Amino acid sequence: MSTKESYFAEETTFLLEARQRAEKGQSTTEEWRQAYGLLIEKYEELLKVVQVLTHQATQLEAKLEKARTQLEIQKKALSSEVEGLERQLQVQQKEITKKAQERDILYDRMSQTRMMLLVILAVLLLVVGFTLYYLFWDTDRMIQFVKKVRGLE
Amino acid sequence: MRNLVIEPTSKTPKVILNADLGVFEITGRSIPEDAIGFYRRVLDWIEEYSKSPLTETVFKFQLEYFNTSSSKCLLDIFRKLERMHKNGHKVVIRWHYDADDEDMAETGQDYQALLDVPFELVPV
Repeated sequence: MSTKESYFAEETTFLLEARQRAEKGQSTTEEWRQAYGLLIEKYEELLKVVQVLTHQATQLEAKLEKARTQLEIQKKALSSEVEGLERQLQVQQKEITKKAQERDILYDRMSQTRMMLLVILAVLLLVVGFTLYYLFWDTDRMIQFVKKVRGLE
Repeated sequence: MRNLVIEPTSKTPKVILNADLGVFEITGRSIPEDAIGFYRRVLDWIEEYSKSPLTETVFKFQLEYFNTSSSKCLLDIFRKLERMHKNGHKVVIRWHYDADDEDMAETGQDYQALLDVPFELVPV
């Protein structure tokens, strides 16, 4: 018995028995009447079951369709959200690139300033060094130099 | 007779058939591909139980969702319970459903109309 038939095993068995009885054809009128009555009863029962199952299947299909529509709506909403996020990401990437460029420029300027400061410091050290040298170790020449500057000599 | 307890899965319901405690329940979701395979044990158990049932059998069904093949198996269970009722045993089927789920209420009404056994609709 296939899976489809196994769901209606009782009905399939009954049908098989009814067919065998019909093929034999040896029943009395009363037996035929009873068998036919039973067949009608079973048919009515089966019809009710089919009606219920059809109704339920339709309900399930409607539920599935509703769920599918909701999924479609959610998919669209998500797609548009993803697009928005992608655009936002692109803008942020541009901003990051711009900031990185600005940082590089700033580093260059800082490097130049540092170099200038070093040069100025070196010059200052040189001047102070010379001054201290003449002030403490070669005072005579310092005095002569000051006099020369002031026009006393 | 031995009790039957089947733990639920994502596709099959929880089944408790305990004649000692008088608990008969099928709850959860029923969407197995092989519904007849799943419900075979339940049907066999009820068939065995119907030979010497308790004074009163209250069978609770609380399903949130089930496929068409499960529906046919449920009908087979109902038919067995209906037969018990016709044989003079006290049987009550309680169909519990979410009060907001109109479809499940309607399904219960369909079964109720189809069966000749006390069938109560219980919104929860």
